[in-house]
Amino acid sequence: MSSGLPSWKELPIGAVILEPGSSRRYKTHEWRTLRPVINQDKCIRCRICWSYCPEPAILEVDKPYVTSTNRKYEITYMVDYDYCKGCGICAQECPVKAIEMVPEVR
Amino acid sequence: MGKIVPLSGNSAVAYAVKSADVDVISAYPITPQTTIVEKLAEFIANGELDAEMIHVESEHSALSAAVGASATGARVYTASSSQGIVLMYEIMFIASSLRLPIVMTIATRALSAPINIWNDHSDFMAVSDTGWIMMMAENNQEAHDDVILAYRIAEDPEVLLPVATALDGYFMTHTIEPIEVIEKDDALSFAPKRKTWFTLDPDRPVTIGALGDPQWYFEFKRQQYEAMKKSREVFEKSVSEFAKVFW
Repeated sequence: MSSGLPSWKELPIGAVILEPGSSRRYKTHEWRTLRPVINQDKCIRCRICWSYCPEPAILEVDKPYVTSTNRKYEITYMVDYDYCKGCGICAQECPVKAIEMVPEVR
Repeated sequence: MGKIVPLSGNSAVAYAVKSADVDVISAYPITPQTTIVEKLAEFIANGELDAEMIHVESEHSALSAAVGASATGARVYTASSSQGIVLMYEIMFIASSLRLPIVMTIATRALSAPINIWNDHSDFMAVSDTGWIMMMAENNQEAHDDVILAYRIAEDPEVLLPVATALDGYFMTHTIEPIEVIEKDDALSFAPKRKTWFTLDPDRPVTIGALGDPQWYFEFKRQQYEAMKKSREVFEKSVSEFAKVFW
């Protein structure tokens, strides 16, 4: 069965990597069984998830958000689902329980 | 025919390393190997060999430094015995997997316990699963010749694997025999210094020793296996040419 990956005949010897930053192409999301979902209304923008994430897969995005109670924020926290491994540290640390770990369905 | 001089096995090896014009030597003293690198240190101090001698705190570091030096494209040499070899064990797999053509001499000695400085092959046989090419000398002349052969085989672009050459501790390392010394010019025309592997170069950066998951890992193991298979052919070709040139 062909995996579509280069074979030993094509790869450089010694497992040498010629392309810098190639680990970006390694999407670690495949390890995930639970995905964090951020409730933007509950989130108080404290940055704790961002600083605790070991990846880091919590992104601080310059995207304004207005909550249902009309509170205005300049930034939004989002999950980088390409690299989030689903460890749940963000959900554990969130002081207002704004992050829920939802089973990953494929 | 070259000059014939009386040399101990260890001196015979050191003379061959000098003729191979190595760039870096990284070693830690251990009986019965010590006099090889002692002799090499003497050659460097006398200006007879232009090489960097790296003093390290253990054999693990000795081979680690050899790996680093070889990754820059230098011709590298190290030597050890017994506990030193098994302390190098972790790095031996890395040297062969990174396809670095390091040459190491093993002055064979028994492993502990009990501590025994005398000869057997338990250190040399422990190398057999590490992906290194292994050569065992029958006499001091062979121990001398093997070093030159080892560089030729290790640096062959179809091989690029490290080579361990061995001689019996004491029975050969400390026994004097008449040796026909291969001079530098002859050694380098038979085993010219080549840089046919990926080397560390600031102008052409590469990553060496990165993560490789199973779908990648076995491709590299297959490459190593094919290189080891090929080395047999290269060995036979090199030995017949050696015979024509030097015998």
